[in-house]
Amino acid sequence: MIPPRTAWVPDWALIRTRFLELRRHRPLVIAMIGGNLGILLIMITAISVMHAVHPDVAPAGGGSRFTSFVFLMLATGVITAMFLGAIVGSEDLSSKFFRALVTTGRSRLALYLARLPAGLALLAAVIIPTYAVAVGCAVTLLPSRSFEYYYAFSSSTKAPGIHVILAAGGWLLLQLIVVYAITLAISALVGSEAPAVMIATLLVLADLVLTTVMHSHVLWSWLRFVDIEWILWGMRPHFPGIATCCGTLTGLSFSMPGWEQLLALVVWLVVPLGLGAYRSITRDA
Amino acid sequence: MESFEGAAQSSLSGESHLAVEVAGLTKRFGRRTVLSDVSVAIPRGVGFGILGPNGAGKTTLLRTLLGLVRYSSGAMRIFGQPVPSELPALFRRIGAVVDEPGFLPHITGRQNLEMLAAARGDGASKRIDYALERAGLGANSDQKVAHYSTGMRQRLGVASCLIADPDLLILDESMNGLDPAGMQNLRTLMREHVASSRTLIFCSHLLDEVERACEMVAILDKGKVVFQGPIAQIRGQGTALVKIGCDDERRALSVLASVPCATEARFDHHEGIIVVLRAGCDPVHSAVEINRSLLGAGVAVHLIAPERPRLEDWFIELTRPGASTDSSPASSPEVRGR
Ligand SMILES: Nc1ncnc2c1ncn2[C@@H]1O[C@H](COP(=O)(O)OP(=O)(O)OP(=O)(O)O)[C@@H](O)[C@H]1O
Ligand SMILES: [Mg+2]
Repeated sequence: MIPPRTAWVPDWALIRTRFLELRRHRPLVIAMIGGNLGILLIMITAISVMHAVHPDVAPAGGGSRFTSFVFLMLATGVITAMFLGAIVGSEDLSSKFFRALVTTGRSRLALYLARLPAGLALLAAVIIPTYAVAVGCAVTLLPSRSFEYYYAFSSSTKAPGIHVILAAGGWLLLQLIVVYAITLAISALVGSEAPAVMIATLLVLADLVLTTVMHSHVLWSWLRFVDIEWILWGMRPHFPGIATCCGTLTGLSFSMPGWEQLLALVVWLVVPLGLGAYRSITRDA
Repeated sequence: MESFEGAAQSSLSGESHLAVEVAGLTKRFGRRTVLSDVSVAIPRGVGFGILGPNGAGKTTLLRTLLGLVRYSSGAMRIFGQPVPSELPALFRRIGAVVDEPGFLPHITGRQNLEMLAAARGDGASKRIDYALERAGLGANSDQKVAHYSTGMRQRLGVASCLIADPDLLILDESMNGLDPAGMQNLRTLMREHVASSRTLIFCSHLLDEVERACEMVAILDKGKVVFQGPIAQIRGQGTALVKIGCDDERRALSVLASVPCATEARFDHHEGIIVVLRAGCDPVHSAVEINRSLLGAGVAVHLIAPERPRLEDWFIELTRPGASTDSSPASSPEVRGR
């Protein structure tokens, strides 16, 4: 059955064509693959070559290497998610295709909502295989027991367990989804890609400032609800090969209960996306 | 406060023979009034031209009608349904290109249409091949839009309308950049559209094309309707001309002074003799009469060309700076903008 055209829920056909369209952004897809899988492979190759040349350098497997792969992917993934979000958020507007889409009679909200999962699918299509490569290396290229002296933790030389793999992957994906969604919303709000990337970058930097300020005095502790990066950091699983905890520079330390984290996360997703949707519905076409 | 919705619909007649009805529409961008109390009535099954100088508000009128921008006051209907509230359903019957058509450059023309068809639903995707062929884009449909020429983009714009199988076809400057074959193709398409009792709204600066495609026009100037009515009415009321090429212009001019249907005759180095006919004189009959007089006086005539009043002359007269709309040749109330 064809859904009524006024329905605000995008149907499968709409999401599918949107995904196919995004997939055909050749420079974007090349940059996404190169910037994630490519950089990871360079890192793995570099470690492997070093290991081959200097056998006292640990190979590209085990818990510690896994952890560094995940953090590398976090860095490259955040940049990827930002650019993808910016493009998905406003490419219709900059090309004036938005007007053609609106004159099909499809609800503007459905058009907006169709972009979200389509871009997410592309993000996942790049990140999940890259993560699989990272995991593959981490569990196969294990260092021998003689490397235990090389690392400070016993988990460093062991293959990460399935729980760690799933939790770390989920956490990585969650971060990227948040960055993607927020940048998409900003892009839909401002209607242009470059300013959206700029604003999203400034937000990340602002979060760093927030983190410092909120740890400076207990009076500022309420800022933890605003500091999305800190909230996400608080949700990280335990990574092998690194210390469990880390104090703060000022010695002030606090944590957030799970429900608060979840609530803050939902607010951080719903509010920007809601504003983006509102702008899409009300803007001139 | 501007809105997409909610203006009073009471000022509309709601007549069922109208495809589009706009009453008292005012649209401001900031403090600038771009459309001022615009009223237009477009009957079903006609070709309707919307003309006006650059910046007159033609595109803004179409954008407002299609709910693409908010408006300040007024009321609109399409096929008797209030707009913009009923637009989602009405768009099933509308194919529109407003201003330069915009497409995603990194995918092909066909893929752009597939996206629009997916948004439309209603089996629009089945009409993609037909639309591409009909718009004359078949061979280039699998090329990226980034590599399209201006004319190819225009053709894709027309194709995007055709996937809707529209009852109301709205084309804004769609002939710009088309090659002669493309223009002829679009001309035929517009004619066939109207011939099948569907409605066409055609905005263009190519007034000859408007004359060919449309029976009626509205002329906008500075956001106001300065004329609205059948093109035939303009032809009936404007001044017709006869152009003459002969061997002895001086003699011809003295003969023409006594021809009853001529009010004025002058010599132009490029065009030869131009005879302005009395209002109501048929240019073809007058040409025969003039030819007879000239031959009778021994002037050898090698060219005699009757010219009906042209939309272009009428348009320029109406929209020239400082033109008073009441001083124009056909300022009868029934053809004025209401
Ligand atoms: N978004 C906008 N913001 C401010 N002014 C606008 C906007 N869009 C259009 N205008 C103004 O409205 C007026 C009418 O513009 P419109 O595009 O409707 O003219 P037009 O009759 O279609 O002209 P053309 O023949 O050049 O296509 C212009 O003066 C234009 O500057
Ligand atoms: Mg225009």
